[in-house]
Amino acid sequence: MASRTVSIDVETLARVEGEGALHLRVKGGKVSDVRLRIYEPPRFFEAFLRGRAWTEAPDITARICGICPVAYQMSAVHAMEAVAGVIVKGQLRELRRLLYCGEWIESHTLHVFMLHAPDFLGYDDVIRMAADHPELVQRALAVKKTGNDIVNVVGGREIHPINVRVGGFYRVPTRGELEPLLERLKRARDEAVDFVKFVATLPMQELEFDYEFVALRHPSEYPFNEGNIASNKGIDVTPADYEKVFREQHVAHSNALHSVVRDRGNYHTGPLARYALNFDRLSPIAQQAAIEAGLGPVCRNPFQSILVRTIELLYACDEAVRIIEQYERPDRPFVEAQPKVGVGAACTEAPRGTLYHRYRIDELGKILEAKIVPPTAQNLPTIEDDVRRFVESHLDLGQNEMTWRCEQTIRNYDPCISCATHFLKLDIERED
Amino acid sequence: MLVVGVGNDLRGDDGIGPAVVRRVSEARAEVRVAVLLGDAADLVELMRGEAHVVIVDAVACAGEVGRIHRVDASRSWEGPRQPEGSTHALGVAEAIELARALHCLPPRVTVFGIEGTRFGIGEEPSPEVRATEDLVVAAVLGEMERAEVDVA
Repeated sequence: MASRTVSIDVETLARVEGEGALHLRVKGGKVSDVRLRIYEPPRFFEAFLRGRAWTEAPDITARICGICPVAYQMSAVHAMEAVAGVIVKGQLRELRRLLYCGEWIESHTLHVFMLHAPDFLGYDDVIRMAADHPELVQRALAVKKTGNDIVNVVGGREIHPINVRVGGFYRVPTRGELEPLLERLKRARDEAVDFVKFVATLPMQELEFDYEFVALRHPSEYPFNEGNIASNKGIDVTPADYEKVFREQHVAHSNALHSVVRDRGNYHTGPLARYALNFDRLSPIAQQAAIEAGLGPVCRNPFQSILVRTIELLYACDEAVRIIEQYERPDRPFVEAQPKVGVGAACTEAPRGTLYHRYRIDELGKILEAKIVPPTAQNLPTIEDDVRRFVESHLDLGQNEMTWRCEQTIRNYDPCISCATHFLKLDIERED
Repeated sequence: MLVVGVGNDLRGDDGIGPAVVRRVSEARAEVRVAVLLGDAADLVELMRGEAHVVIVDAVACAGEVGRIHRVDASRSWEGPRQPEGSTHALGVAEAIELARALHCLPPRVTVFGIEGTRFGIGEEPSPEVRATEDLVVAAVLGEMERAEVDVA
């Protein structure tokens, strides 16, 4: 067989230029080089946070990502509460889960229908898909808006929620404020059941990898804010021990640090990992939908992440209904928390995976050190591996389809490449 | 009329949209305003049912920092476009085209794009972009007055 060199370059053309690129080189049936280069704002935010008050961390870090501000707020407050020795319980805890449901609904619907489904249906983008499937896109937008509205009511506003504070909230909603969401959420839940059926019919690549799945696992709940960090290969530690198990390493080709399990290597965080480790914690309606869609309790096909994300969308709608139905407005919107000298760490489950925050503060609550490890940074080595393995097993694909499938492979992870708006231009050059 | 500022005010010139929106809101309290960061898909729902939407956003520098572009997006988009294949979010142009494909684009959509150069976290806006703020606020208010004249 003649040696063939395939070179794939994904060049980022963004409002902020030069933030990321994928370079892939294939020679003689093997991928000789794969480099996903990204620019990573959390490093800048870590410096930006030093010297600020501990109470400012949730609002500052919420600006890292316009799509998952709740995740940043939740990891920040839980880390600060770990320093202060405060545990938020009862309805305040439930409200935090509700806020997270809103973010998952928004983020998962955006990714599944606006970004990922067009890949599976052979459209260049959602605009072209909308021309043929207007009703589907309209229904998805309505479900997404229900998620936005939860964040609006609980978080204070949709984009940068401002109502979250260490110890709870600045203000808690009344039952009357949440009740109008209930009927809409029930409709969204019905829609999500249909969405799962629809997504299960999408043409799927058959490919499975033996990932190390890493996600939170809680004794009784599908995880948002709490639980141990667990894996299918034996990890089971508290967030305080995160850095004993995982380490970040510099790689020459990227601004971003790559996360690995110490002495072991790559891992996978996000919907597939959460699902694999927590299938038994899904609500009955979500479990049933998964089984009817043909999913087992573990799914190792990265392309099926679109289906697992839709199952999680259904779960988030169902969980939000449960929380609102049992809601009683707490007497106080927050529990008192006083700063202490010390270090606090927390992990919560952002839509695209586990988000780790650690802070060191002084006796007045001034932030001395901040560390943020976003899920995309954790997934980067795995994304590179997936691209490598996909290309090696599909060398017969034509140029256009290879380009398309490489993008789709990256999109399986819903990567938050810089949390700014990002665009990829992908060129393939082949040499025989 | 709805005025939407797109951008992150912690990222230098990217904050011009939110800054203009705040000024417009102070000048004309009756105007509905919104700030969007990150994903522009929400524009589709935000714009739904509106007669006239004005969007203010920073754009990549195409040669002159502080240059203001006005795009009438009502009929077809002739402003800057993202190349295809975003991994993570829709842009303003895509959201407008999506609304058009779904037949829910407001009859009048005007976009002001301001060429910026400083987009780093915690950076101050460039003097050139900062200097456009008054002009853009006046232009947005001018759109409103023009719309009022048309209605009258």
